[in-house]
Amino acid sequence: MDNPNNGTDDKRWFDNQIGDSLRQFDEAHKPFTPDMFEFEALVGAHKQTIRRKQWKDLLLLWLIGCFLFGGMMWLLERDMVWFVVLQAVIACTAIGCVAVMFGKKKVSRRWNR
Amino acid sequence: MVDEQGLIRKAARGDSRALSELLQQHYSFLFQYALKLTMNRSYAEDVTQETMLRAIEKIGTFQGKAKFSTWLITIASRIYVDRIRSKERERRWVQEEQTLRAIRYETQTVMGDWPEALDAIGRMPGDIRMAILLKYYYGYAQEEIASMLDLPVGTVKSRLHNGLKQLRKELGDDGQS
Repeated sequence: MDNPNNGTDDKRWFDNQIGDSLRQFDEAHKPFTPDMFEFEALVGAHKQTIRRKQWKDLLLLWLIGCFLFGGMMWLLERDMVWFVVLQAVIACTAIGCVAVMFGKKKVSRRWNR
Repeated sequence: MVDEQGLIRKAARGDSRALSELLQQHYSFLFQYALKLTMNRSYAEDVTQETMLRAIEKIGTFQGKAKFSTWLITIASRIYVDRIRSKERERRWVQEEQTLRAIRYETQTVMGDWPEALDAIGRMPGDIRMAILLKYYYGYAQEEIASMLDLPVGTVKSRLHNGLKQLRKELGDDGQS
């Protein structure tokens, strides 16, 4: 069933029946390529958007970090037992998250070839 | 003139001009791929634009093992797959039937003809059309397509098999195979 000649035959059949039509289609729909400065503008603008978003995310991370740290310090001062319980719950959740992420990593998409 | 690898290295290090040059060089190729994939001009423009934005975001992670055009095709294909999965795509289905007619009219105006072969390609489900184009028009191996689309090789094989079968049937050649 897995005859290696099948692939070549299929390719030849495709080229004969459809290849030319697709090449003509490509020719008929050759787009107008914008000037270099338009690409530079696109790249520059998008890089700036990404940078702005990264700064926002960093700021948000710091805010959440400060809030959590403040909350923990407050709890530590109020009730040592609840502080330990909460720490244990957070540690378990973190381990669970890492396990799930590690599992997903095997099937995650690769963009870096 | 700087070669492609040189441009990729510069672009990955953050050189905006090198990246712009790469995108400009591949713009036409990318648009034509997106158009064959979607058979819809405005949709192809969307996919092309989104692919370029994604490439700008991810260029730092591109190692240059594959050709830049292959990398762009991979991104465009995944964007297309994500879109055909989304609800938005379903809502636009009727509209797209009309735009297939539009691309047919546009092609007829330029080429003076709308070959039956293009009609057969245009009527195929998007995921099958994509596999067929990548394998038989762009010449990628099944394993490469599987890696590009993040699919098992078996799925690619079955899409190619079903796609060719459908094409042969539509083009009145189902006796062979």
